Amino acid sequence: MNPQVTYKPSEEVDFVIVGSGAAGGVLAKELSTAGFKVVVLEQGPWIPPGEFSHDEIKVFFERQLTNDSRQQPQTFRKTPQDKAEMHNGVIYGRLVGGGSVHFTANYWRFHEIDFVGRSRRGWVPGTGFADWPVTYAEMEPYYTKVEWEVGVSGLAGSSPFDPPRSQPYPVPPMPVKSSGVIFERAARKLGWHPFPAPLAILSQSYRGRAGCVHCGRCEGFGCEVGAKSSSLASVIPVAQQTGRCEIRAQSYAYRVETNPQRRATGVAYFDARRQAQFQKARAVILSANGAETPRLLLLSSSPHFPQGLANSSGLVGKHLMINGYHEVYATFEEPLNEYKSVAVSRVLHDFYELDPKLGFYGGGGLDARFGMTPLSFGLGALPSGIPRWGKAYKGWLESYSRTMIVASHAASLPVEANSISLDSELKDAWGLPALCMTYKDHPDDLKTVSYLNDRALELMDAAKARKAWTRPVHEQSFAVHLLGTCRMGNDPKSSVVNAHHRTHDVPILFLCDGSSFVTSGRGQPTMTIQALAFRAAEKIATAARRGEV
Amino acid sequence: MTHFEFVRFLQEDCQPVYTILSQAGKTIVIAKPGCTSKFASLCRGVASSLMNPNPGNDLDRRRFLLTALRGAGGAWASVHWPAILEAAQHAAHVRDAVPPAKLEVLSAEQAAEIEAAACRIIPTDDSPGAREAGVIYFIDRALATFAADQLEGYVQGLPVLQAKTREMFSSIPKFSQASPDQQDTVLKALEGQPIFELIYEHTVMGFLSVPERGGNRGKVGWKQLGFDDSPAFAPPFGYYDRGDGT
Repeated sequence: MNPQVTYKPSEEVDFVIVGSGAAGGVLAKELSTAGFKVVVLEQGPWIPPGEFSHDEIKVFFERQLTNDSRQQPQTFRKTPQDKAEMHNGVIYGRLVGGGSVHFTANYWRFHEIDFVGRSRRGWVPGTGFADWPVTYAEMEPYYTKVEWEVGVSGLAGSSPFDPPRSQPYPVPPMPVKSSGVIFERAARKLGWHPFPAPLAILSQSYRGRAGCVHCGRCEGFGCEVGAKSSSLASVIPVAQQTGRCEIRAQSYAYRVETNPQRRATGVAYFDARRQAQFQKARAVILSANGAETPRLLLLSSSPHFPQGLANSSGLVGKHLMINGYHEVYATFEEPLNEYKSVAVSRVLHDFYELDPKLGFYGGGGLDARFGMTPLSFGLGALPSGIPRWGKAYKGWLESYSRTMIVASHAASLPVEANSISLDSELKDAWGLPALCMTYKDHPDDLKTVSYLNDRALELMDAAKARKAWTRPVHEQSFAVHLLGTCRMGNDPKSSVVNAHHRTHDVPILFLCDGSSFVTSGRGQPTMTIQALAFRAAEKIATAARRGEV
Repeated sequence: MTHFEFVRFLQEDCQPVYTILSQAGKTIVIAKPGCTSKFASLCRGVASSLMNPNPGNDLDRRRFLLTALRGAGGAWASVHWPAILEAAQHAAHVRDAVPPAKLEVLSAEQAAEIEAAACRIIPTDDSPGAREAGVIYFIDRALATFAADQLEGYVQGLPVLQAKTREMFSSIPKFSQASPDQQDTVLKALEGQPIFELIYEHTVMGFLSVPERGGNRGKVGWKQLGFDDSPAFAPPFGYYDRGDGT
């Protein structure tokens, strides 16, 4: 933790931002460097990079970096008609830096189609499929800004399907891994177009930060050397250096207060000792992620806002999208040693827009990856036909260093019934109503994942894998991508925020994170979350200078 | 010094150059006396900062470290200091890798039953298994720490294991007294039941997780996987990315 300014909660700052992750970190940096006083409330702790651990039990079982269901239990149901059962389906980063600390760091830009899919392809039954109120062309400068301000490695022009770009990447792509070489050779054989993965991980020193040392504890882990371009490593230190931004850890926001004029006045939160506090601010920005932002709005109901704050549309929490994901495992003759370096080194986008003749809407990408730690491999990678214990199991463990994964990443369609809501009975350790996730994949989403998974099998067949295996495609009940729950739009009846991230109902309340998404993209949302945050910061700062907040 | 030279330093020169001790939660880096490596002065700089009696918390320690490294290595060090800290901590973990082989939670009798099952789940053959990995000590520590709420599962489940043994082999009162083949028969009958799944999950975890947790002694589980826990690597990483790659 760097030295930083501190404010008294009673002091009215310009902005209070809830959440310090991919979006909140960018907004904090942009608004503080623009001269505004900013307090960021982060519910999780501040973990210095030196305390990031390679111990899987600490990270995954003791949940060093993510929300802990023992403190914040959740419920889940497939449809609003079902009774919600205890199930902790929503997983998010809960520390300074948020999910960007542990993410895999795949930084695909959205393509043009992601913003205008509805008008290009038409409505899909059972969905709230809509166009964004912004286009790729409007977003392009902000994508470039993410790449240069946050630090993204990659090779411009290496995918024929990429949308136009104004600048190259600031640092070259990461070195190819064995999985990437196998993937690339096989894809070329099939006439597909593999390219080096764009990653928010530095391949070499950049802006005073170290390049990756390829330790391999990457996906799911925090980076001790600061080469992963998390908000913690990239934008938060810049915000602190302005002397105008306080990152206040262990501050769990539970209510946005509004006055009789319907203006937001600040945020009530529990501090580290679970004492209630209230941070006054001229304007409030929620970047708490696509589950906690709608939850906070629903927790902030009042006589003026009986169904939750900024919820006159009734759409707060609705249209949850989580992206489809599926894996093909494959083993080869020689060691790949995929446990080294970053998770992903090659991607292909040949199936980004699937042919309408297939009879369903969708698209996605494939990548060569391996996020398997020793423990996750031993407990979760077993192919059918291999005994799960005894001598044969032990012998199978030897295949760890010869195994890779081809992962499918897919669009989710926005379905109104898929949602984040407040559980009517269950409470968290602070006495607040627990998160309830409602989710059932749209049939087209499952068809998309199956289609991509078949391509992944085809790829590993072309690669002459010694053995390739997968599991049946199934409906999802775990979500790490939390999108669409306060969707952006021009019409207050069918959206929660406008194209500048201002809520339609509460003029000085802004929402910017995955909740703003109108469509899900093809499986890698964080790049777009940050591009939106850079853009939102510009719009918000301009409005603030005009006295419009 | 380039990035990869530094990585090579971590991999090849680090251990001979300095010894890592962990005392009262502080990491101390000491360059061996008489060491002539070009990195020795760097290590001594780190050591002097870390041995400063003042640092009361990690923040102070890191600030001292940063100051020392700026003196030692200038701009290069300021870029790489987190990596050095990471390497130092990793080495400290290695030093801490083998907690004492003693039981704190389980009774000797409970431990004998659990270990007997663990040794069928990951048997010893021409390579070490659950026994050599000290899986039982992992489980005991787990029940004192992150898995404390699972102790009840063993208390309830071990009698089930023994009852199933007696049911299938009437003359044998305890699972650990059955022959390996008999034990396999009992375990097959219990697959899917809570006690089997509990022992199974903890056995795999104890075989494959970091040695600081009490199991995976001598990193025998990682050797079985072919996993190398070095703190840094340089390409090529595997067989297929050698040469000109693609």
